[in-house]
Amino acid sequence: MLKPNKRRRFYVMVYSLSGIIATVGLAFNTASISLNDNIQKLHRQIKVVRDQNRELKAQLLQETRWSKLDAVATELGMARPKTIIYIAAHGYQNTTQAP
Amino acid sequence: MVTKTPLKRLNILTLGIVCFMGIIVLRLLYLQVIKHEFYNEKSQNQINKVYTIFPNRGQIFDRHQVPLAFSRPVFSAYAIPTQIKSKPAFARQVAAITGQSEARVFSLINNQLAFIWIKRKVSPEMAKALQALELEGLNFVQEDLRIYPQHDLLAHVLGFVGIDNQGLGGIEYQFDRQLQGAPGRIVLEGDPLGYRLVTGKRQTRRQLDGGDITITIDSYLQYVAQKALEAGIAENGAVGGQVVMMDPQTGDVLALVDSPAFDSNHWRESTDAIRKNSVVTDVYEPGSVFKLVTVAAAINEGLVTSRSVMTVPETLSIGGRTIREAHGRATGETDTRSVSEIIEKSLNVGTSLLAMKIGHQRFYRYITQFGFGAPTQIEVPAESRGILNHVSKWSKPDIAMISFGQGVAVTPIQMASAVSVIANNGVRVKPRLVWKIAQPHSLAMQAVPIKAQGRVISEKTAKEVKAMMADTVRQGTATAAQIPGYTIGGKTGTAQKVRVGGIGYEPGKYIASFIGFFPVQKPRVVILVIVDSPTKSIYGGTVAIPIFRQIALATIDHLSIPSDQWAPGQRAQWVE
Repeated sequence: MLKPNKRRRFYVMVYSLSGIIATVGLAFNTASISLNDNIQKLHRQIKVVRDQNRELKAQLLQETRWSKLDAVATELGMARPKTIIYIAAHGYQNTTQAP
Repeated sequence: MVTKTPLKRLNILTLGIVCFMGIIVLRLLYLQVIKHEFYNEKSQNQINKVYTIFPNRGQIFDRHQVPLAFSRPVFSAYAIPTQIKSKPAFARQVAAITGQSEARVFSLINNQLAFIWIKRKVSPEMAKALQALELEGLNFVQEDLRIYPQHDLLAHVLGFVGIDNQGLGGIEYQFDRQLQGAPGRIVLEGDPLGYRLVTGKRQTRRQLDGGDITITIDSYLQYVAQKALEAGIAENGAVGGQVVMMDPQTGDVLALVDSPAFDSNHWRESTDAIRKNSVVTDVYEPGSVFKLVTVAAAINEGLVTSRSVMTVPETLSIGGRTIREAHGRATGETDTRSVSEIIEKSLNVGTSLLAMKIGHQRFYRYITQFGFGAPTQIEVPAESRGILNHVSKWSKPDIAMISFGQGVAVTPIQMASAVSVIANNGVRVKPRLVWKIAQPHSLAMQAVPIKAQGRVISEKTAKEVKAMMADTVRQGTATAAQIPGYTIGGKTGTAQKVRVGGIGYEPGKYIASFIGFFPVQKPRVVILVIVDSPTKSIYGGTVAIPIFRQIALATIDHLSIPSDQWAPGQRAQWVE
């Protein structure tokens, strides 16, 4: 059996320790709640940005499809040149003769 | 009067209790032992709340990684009829935005269901307008909408998906498993009201997003080919047509056009007949293009060479049937013809004589080795094997008819694949439409290997046939296909159109075609052009060649194919 003084000190210590643990736990819990909230908010924002990105990509691809580019080129009066001058650089092979 | 003693009553009571307990025990045995699994599953279903996480469907790219099919998020509107306060008002307001009839919306919500779709995959504007109504009982869920940014370009190749993003045609159908991925799920233990139990377990299985697919198509060449074909169809008053462009060395399909086209984004607006990919599902009589097979077989068997000379009469009677030329002989023209001339001038009788020299069995063997009578195994659904009767069923004139492409029906992809054998110096390569595949939830792409299917004719024979095809463009029936600086090899074809059902021909209707490749010595591309029922002219030389030429010019430019005729340093002016 502990002596009364020692017993008192023991209980003070136990209660203090419990109080500290509870306070730390509460503080941690409060902080983690706000952290979790932030994480969830960021996740939601990422999803929104990702969806917006997909939406923009869809619009971009619609605007750069071949038929659209062709229509814009025609509208701007662009046309394939009638005369093209080629200068053959290498790779001469006469294949007009039958083997 | 006999009275029961207390002991007897006690015994009866005991027996009654024992019987009662026995019934309870038996019932418990029945419920807990015999029906254990049934009730266990029921209770698990009540406790477990399953949430499905749908995967993102994989994308489809062209050979230069241009996205051809991908998904974007959209909203779908659903209602909980039990939560709606005024159903007529709800129906009126929703119908005004969705474009549905008020009666239709009312019929959807006029019940006690817990869930009913109002409209799925609505436009962003419509979703905003519906959300602005703030109606009780109207809710939204995010889904993926498949979009095809190139619209009607490649619709026959890519196919389309249903409302639940399930592949229903083309690559989307053929590779649905890879593209779709696997849904994930979260299982939570909760009470019947749906609240999660404190001691409940949580099981998570991640969703596997669908794998991406890269196809061999070059979307620019596809666009050029589709534009040229559609212009040609309009110019010639035709009903449709096809273009197949292949790399003969790898079997890569660079363009695959079927006209009329449809838009994969709005596939429901087109008919089944338009949605089918005629390049692989429909057959046609190839006509004179088939003469290449006959001549290749005759040369490969050592029966003739391209310079061999033979007597080719104007007509030939065989099995009670007379074979005639498409064009009559000019006055003073002799019957002596070289084998090369048979191809250059596209002579039916000459080809028939060659086929008879080869003999039934050997000729049939060559036809099958070139790939006719069997599907090419290209990676799209519903491929036809064509129509090729077994040699044992051939009648006497059949060998002659088949030699110039009548009495045999082929698909455009079979024809392109067969001529690729000649272009590839005699080696047959399987047509390849899918280049790379990623398995679900994997970034690593797995290449589909090039598949050589064996040598059909010798390299020497292939070179001889290629030279004959080059002569056909230089001085034969296909001079219109010439392109300055490039040696083009080609063959025209004009055939009567077979009736639907395969018996007899449609009067006055023809299939005009041209197949060509360049540069002849080492061809980079084989291009097949088919025009269905042209009305202004019926000949492949006048109908199909101008389309071929347009595509060929763009291909030379796009693939930077060097000239095979100009010397280094030579300046050449090319006037179109």
